[in-house]
Amino acid sequence: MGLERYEEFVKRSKSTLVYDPGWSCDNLTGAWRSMRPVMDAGRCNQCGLCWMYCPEGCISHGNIVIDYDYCKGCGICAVECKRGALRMEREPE
Amino acid sequence: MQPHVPRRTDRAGGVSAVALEEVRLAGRGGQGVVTAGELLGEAVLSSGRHAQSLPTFGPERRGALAQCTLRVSDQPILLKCSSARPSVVVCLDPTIWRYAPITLGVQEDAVVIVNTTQSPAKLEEALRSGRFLSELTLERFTVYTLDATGIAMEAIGRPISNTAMLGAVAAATDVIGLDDVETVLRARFGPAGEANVVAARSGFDAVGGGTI
Amino acid sequence: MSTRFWNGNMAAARAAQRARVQLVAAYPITPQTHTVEYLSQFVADGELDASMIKVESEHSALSACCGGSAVGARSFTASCSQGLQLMSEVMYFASGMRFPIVMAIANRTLSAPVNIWPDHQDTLVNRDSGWLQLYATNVQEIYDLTLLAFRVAEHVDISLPALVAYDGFILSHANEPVQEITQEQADALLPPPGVTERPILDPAAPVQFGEVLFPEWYPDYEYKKHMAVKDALAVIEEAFDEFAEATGRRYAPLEADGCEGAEVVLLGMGSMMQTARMAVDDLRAQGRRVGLLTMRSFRPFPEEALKAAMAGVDTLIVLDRDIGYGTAGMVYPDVTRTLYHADDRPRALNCVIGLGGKDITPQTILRCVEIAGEDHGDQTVFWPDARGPAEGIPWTGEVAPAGAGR
Repeated sequence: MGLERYEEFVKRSKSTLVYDPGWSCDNLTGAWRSMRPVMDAGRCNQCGLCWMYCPEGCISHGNIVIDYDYCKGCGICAVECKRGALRMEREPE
Repeated sequence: MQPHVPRRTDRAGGVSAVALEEVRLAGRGGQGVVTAGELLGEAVLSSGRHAQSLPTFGPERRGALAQCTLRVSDQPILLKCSSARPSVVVCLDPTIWRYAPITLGVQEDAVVIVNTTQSPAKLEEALRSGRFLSELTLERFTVYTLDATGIAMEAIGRPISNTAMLGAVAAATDVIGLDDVETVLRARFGPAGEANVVAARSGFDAVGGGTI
Repeated sequence: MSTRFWNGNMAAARAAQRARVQLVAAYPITPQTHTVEYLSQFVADGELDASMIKVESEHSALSACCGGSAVGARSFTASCSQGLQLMSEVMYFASGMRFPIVMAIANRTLSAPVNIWPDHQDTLVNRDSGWLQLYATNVQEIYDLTLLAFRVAEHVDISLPALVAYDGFILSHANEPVQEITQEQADALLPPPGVTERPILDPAAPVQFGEVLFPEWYPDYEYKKHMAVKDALAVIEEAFDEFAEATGRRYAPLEADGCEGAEVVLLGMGSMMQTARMAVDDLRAQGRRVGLLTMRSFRPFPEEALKAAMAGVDTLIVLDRDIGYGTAGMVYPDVTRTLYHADDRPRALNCVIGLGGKDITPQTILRCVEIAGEDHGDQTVFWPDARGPAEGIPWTGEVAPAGAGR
């Protein structure tokens, strides 16, 4: 991450506050799910309600696709879907 | 099969004056780990022993690791630290043991109870393998598994596994009896208590699969 | 009397309820938040007849309590860490106007780096705010000391605000058995709420608070406040005595155990003193003569009890869960100042441990005792649980590893 350039400052100022920043590329929060939303494409009319309500931004618009790397399984999409196209299922281990 | 009775030995981090038993509950925020610790403590207290439940969690958020240590003793519990040497580990989540070291400091002859659809043998193999953050290098430990999420979905209608796991604790250890668990569930949850009692009983019945 | 299984925040809230507080104003901050949530619930459920004032900050919370106290209402708040620092300005007003407000503090260190875990930095930097400071070692004590804090604060000779501090998470979130005090017992220990001899805002007898005081008189006023803090010690002792008669639970501002002729005595505050008790019991079982001094009252400071406990003591180790940067822990200077002129003066060392929630285990305490027997030249301040100095590592400017902040 190019943190070497701070080494002299850290050494002389007795500071330890230089961190390799955390980012969600490492932390796939999808591992938190107990339940996962599963889409029945035949029922979906691409209305975008699920996309609009997803608090994690895990549903893409246009062609509805769920990003299971980050979906935490809250189930809001399944509640909001007016066509019953989203169903919450047990997360496989 | 016979319920496994864990050894009551001297603990408290090498300080030997008082016999203390420690139970670690682990799971994800939202699954009721802290509540499970409290309920277990209340049950222990009502059985005439001393109890302390000490949650160890960071900035709280649903889904992240949550842990709670229950301490049980015949004497007042002086130990006020989060480090523990548990003889029982209860994992409320099917996967978090892979990502977090929930078996730190576990004692020989430990009982490990995991909410999973996998078999105890498979879980034991995974815990011995060293491929996950929770690793057990003990010579002897007993794994029990049960589908507590499935039990909770059926009994309560929500994937909150804690009360089913309390039933499993009652079956697999001598920390507490099923009667005491039922009593505290009724007292805590009022009208919703019965569904939780059903979950606890199912959890109790489900831990027939220890590897011994 | 029934035994409850309460966490520390619940114990503080239940004590305030038993004290029949009339005004609660507080702002949430981890790990104190439950305390106010519980009180809000009690009011909503009709279990407590108090005004819950919603405020936009800790500064406003304590200001609202000052207003309540000015009209004679028994007022309660809770905070910690940065929240307490935001209150700090008003803390001096509260003590200056001699408002007997009681505050529960779930001790949490001060940022940065961001850290929500316990040490005593937040309360000790407010050492000279004129507030009485009591420290609990377990959940039962949170309950008992919070109740008694009202009695001491409101005593006509004192009339000063008081805070009851307990380690965040380790006590605030830990459930332990608590012997409940009945309402009758509480009512016998405390004066009725809102009944006071001190001046209050009353249209029938108008008074003014927060007036200007010119230099001619200012030292006189400060001297009276100084003496009120000192005199609070006798009031606390009297309250502890009466409490012991009522409940069988006996406390002391400075509790001495096995100190006479001890090779090492450990002095400290908060939950670590219970863990220390386990370590000390173990050492005694091995034939070591180790004493324990548990300080429950930091302000007033129990000077005479400290001197009396030092008879024949070889080494006193002050455990500080806090640091006065560049000097020593913040309890240590008061201890050494007190003992400087004492006839029987031990060697006094200082161990700074448990900062920012670093776990204080029996091993931490045993390590502190070991230091007394080692040769460290004229070094007096030690950091036994900080990685570098504990391992004798000189500062290297090491960069924390990737992910260490998570």
